[in-house]
Amino acid sequence: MPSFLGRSLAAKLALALLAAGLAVYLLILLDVHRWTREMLVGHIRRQGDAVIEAAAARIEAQLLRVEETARRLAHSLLQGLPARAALERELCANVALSPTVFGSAAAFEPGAFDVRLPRFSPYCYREGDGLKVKDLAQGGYGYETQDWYRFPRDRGAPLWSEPYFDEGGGGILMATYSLPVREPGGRLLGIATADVALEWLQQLMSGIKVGATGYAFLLSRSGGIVTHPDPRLAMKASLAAVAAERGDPGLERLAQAVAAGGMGMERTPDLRTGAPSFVVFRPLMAAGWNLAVVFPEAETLADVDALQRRLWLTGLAGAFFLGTAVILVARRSTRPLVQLTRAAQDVASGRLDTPLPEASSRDEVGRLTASFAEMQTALTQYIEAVKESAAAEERLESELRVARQIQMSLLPRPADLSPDKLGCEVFGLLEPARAVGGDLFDVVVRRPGEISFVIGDVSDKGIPAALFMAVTDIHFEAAARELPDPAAVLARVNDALVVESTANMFVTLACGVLDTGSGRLSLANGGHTRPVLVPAAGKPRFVEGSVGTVLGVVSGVSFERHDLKLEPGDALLLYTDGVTEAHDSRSTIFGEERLIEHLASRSHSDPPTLAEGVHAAVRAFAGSAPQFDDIAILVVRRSASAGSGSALVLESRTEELVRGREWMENWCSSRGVDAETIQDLDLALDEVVANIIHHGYGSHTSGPIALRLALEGEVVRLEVSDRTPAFNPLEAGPPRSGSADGSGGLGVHIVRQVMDRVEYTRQNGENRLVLERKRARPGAGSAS
Amino acid sequence: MPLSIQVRQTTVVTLVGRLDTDTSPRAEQALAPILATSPKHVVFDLAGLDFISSAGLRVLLGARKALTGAGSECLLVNMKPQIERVLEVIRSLPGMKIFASASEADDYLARIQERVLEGE
Repeated sequence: MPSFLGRSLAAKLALALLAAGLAVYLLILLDVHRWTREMLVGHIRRQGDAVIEAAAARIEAQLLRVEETARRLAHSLLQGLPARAALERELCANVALSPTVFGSAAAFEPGAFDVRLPRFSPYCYREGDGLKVKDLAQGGYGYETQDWYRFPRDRGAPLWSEPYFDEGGGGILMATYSLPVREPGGRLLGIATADVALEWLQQLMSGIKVGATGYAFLLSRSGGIVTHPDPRLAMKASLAAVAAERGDPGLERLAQAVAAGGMGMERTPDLRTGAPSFVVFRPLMAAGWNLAVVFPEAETLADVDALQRRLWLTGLAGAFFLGTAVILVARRSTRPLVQLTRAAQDVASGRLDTPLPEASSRDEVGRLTASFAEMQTALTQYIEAVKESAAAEERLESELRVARQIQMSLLPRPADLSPDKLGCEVFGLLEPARAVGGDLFDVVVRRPGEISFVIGDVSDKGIPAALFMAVTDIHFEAAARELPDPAAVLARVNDALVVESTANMFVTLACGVLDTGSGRLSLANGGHTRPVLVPAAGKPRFVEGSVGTVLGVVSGVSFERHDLKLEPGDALLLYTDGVTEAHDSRSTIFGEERLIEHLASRSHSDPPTLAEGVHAAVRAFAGSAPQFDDIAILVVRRSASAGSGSALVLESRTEELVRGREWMENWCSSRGVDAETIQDLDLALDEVVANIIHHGYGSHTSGPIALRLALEGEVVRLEVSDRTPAFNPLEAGPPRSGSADGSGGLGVHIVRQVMDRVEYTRQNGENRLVLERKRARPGAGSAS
Repeated sequence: MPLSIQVRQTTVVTLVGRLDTDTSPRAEQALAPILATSPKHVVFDLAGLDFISSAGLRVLLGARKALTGAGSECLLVNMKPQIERVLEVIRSLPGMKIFASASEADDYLARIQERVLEGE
């Protein structure tokens, strides 16, 4: 789940929706809270007003009745003062008239009632069920100094006293309405009063129930707390004092408003409990007192809080359901995305055939799945195409590689060109400009002692040229084996190519036949570059003779033969125009003069050195310019040693005899030496070398045995040298036929019999045995 | 009817290839057990032999020596010309008979047998 919350679209969607929903809900909740609170506060205000109104009406009715009592008394006094007894009766009748009135007094100015009476104030009051009358002037009570007397007298206006505990009357909570009584002349007669016991007021106030814990209380004009459920406060404290004591701004505001005679509502701590409360207050019309109703906030707002809690719970439940729903819907709609993601990863890792989820829905996910499927198909096709083209390219490349191998295999191998086989030194190199090319060279041993060689250049390059070159080579080999005349060879190859060439291709060929023994050389040229003769003595020069037509165009063409002779050490260099027409970066060609110049100082080089020297010179000349044409170079040299000799060194072991024999046989047969002569040489070689191994070096020492072969005219000459102590096998005497165990004598005897000449010399610490055998004339048969 | 029994104690050794310095030691080894049985006659069939040098000759001479010591003979048949040329060297040696073909050697052996029978 954490990973789901952190990474999935569904979780993000769910979180975002949930957050947005909660924010909206919270706003609504706050607004509802504020609004319900305002509404409730207004309701409280109205309720408070109503409570106060009802209470005030009752209180004011009572107080008005009290005021009425005082006013009746005053009215009666102004009608003429009655006698004392009558006055007292009237007082009592007045009190009895109104049950609210506790008592009533007529307090006279000194001498106003009776000049004999300086102070007189009859007071009728209730005691028990009856009424009593007493003179307030009696008993030391100085009424004229009391507030209820003084204030109205001084102000000339009626006045409700602050509630007070009546000490003179009976120690009960009272309030007195005092009314100055003035004669029409303006003389103050006295003060008429009516008392009201406030016990009923206390009962009335405590009877007002506001909710479960709310209550009402009465404040005096100056803010004194008259009634209050808390007995510690009633008649003992004032609002201002409590506010000052508690330092509460709400209470202070309330105290100020009350003192100013205002009405309204304040939010203050409850006087009793200190709990936040709403206090609705309003002064009474009569008496100037203030009524206040307290609504404890906890109770009044309990419903709001309950509502709030309920809304919160509903909100949370809603949020839970919303979140669950969103997550479910989101997961459900993004499940294909999850599957699609897995599929994409599979595809990315190369499994292109990964099955995709069903694109069942037609929403964005469905469309995405469909698009993805299309992409998968396209990708598969694309990769198939790429694979195919890569495979095709690779096939072509490998075909080219094979083609190059085949072309190179058409060329003579180095082993085919060994002097032992050919009887002369031959070296060729071929470097196609591309993988394969149209240049060729080949050497064919026509018969021992005679080779035919060719160099050629097909008119094109690349694969077509290579194929044409292969065809040309096959025709050349066939013709060269059969025909001793190079001109005839060219003519036959030309006719064969004309028959086969349909691709407008042609080839230039230079062909030669060399008798390796005599050095006789015949050349024919079919449109090819002129070969260079590099003599052992003298300057290199182009071979004369006509340059014929190219091959493969017109049949029946004849070619001219040119004969010359190679002296020992003379070389013939054949090449294709890739050499002479090589360009440097300024498009200057290498040219024939540069070729001759290059060869001038290299007369005595062996064929590989000559050929590679020319090649290197051409490459150095071309520099960075790309090789434009195929290059082929063929060098044929008649060996410098007399008549083409050769040498081989053996170790002094009998196993080495096989190697020596094979070398000798190859050498001889490649030079057309007859079989019988070879046999005799074989016998002589075996005898002489065995002799050196067994009797010269012996079984404990070993050393080299050098063999040298040379053909001098018709004489094959075999030299055998060793480094054993001086030992002349020829002086070992005639064969001691009797000694059957055999000594060197028998072998030497045989050697003397089969060889024409045997000669021993000792030179420079070497034993040197020269054996000579005249070979039979080629074709003369081998009958002895 | 008298009973006639012919027992030819003839061993035929066929040599093929080259009998030269390199191969002779092996031929010598191969022949040793045959010679140890002291056969009456050993026929060397040389039809397949292309080459022989003095080392090969020594092998044949060694065989001859071992056989003549035991009163036996060594017969060489079917030689190629080049072998014959070399064998000229030892043709005249006693105990060494050379025949052009196997039948010639057979005739010779038959004659010897007759002689032996007559001598008895």
